[in-house]
Amino acid sequence: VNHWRQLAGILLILAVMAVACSGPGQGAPQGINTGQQARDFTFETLDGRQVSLSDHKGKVVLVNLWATWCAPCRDEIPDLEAAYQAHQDEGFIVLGVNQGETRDAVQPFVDEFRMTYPVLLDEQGELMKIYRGQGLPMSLIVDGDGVLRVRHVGYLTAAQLDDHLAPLLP
Amino acid sequence: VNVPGLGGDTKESALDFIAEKGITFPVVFDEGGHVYQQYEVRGVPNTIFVDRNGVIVSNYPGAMEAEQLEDQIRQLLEAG
Repeated sequence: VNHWRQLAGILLILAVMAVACSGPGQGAPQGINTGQQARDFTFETLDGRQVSLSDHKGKVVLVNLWATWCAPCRDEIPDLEAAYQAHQDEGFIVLGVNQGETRDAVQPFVDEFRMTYPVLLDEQGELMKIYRGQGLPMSLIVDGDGVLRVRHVGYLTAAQLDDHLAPLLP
Repeated sequence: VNVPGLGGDTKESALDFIAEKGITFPVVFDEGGHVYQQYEVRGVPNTIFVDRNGVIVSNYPGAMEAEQLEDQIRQLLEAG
């Protein structure tokens, strides 16, 4: 009987831990598909800070996977920068997660394009694998509750970006 | 089967990659991004299949599965 009590106690502790880890009021499971809590990630920024997706709860986050050699990425980055500047006061942020390149390759590009939103370095291209991306660029839009609302592979036009953001921003 | 690969990066880094991967098919350099613009490519990779008559038969945005690639090639070769 003691064994059963011990087992029941352990199960209860595990259940409490599971609830505690799931976050307050966030019912949806973490995942990589729209409608799910966007799977969290942490990478270092160009200026050496550790930044996670979950640091931005309460904001609308556009996660842009990109590379300096990717022509469509180069084309859409000025639009992303413009959207960031236009909407950052409304709680919108862009996280540019570079895929597979070093700081030395990324920094000159960021300077040239005058990117002011945080640029994260994912030298192993882990985020592409986690989110099962099929190509670059890829953009993920996460709402203020951390729910993945949009998965977009390929160039995102300014008009498409506006359409995606309109229902999410005040 | 002719597989031209078109890149947007520098010749030097492309040559390193070709050597590292042991790529034997022809790779052409499109440093001005002309093909990318003309074909309205929206992401990379992007694979376009052209038959023996020069007609575009399919356009695959994003990574192709090996099986998908093999099926498409076989289909076109068998079509003669």
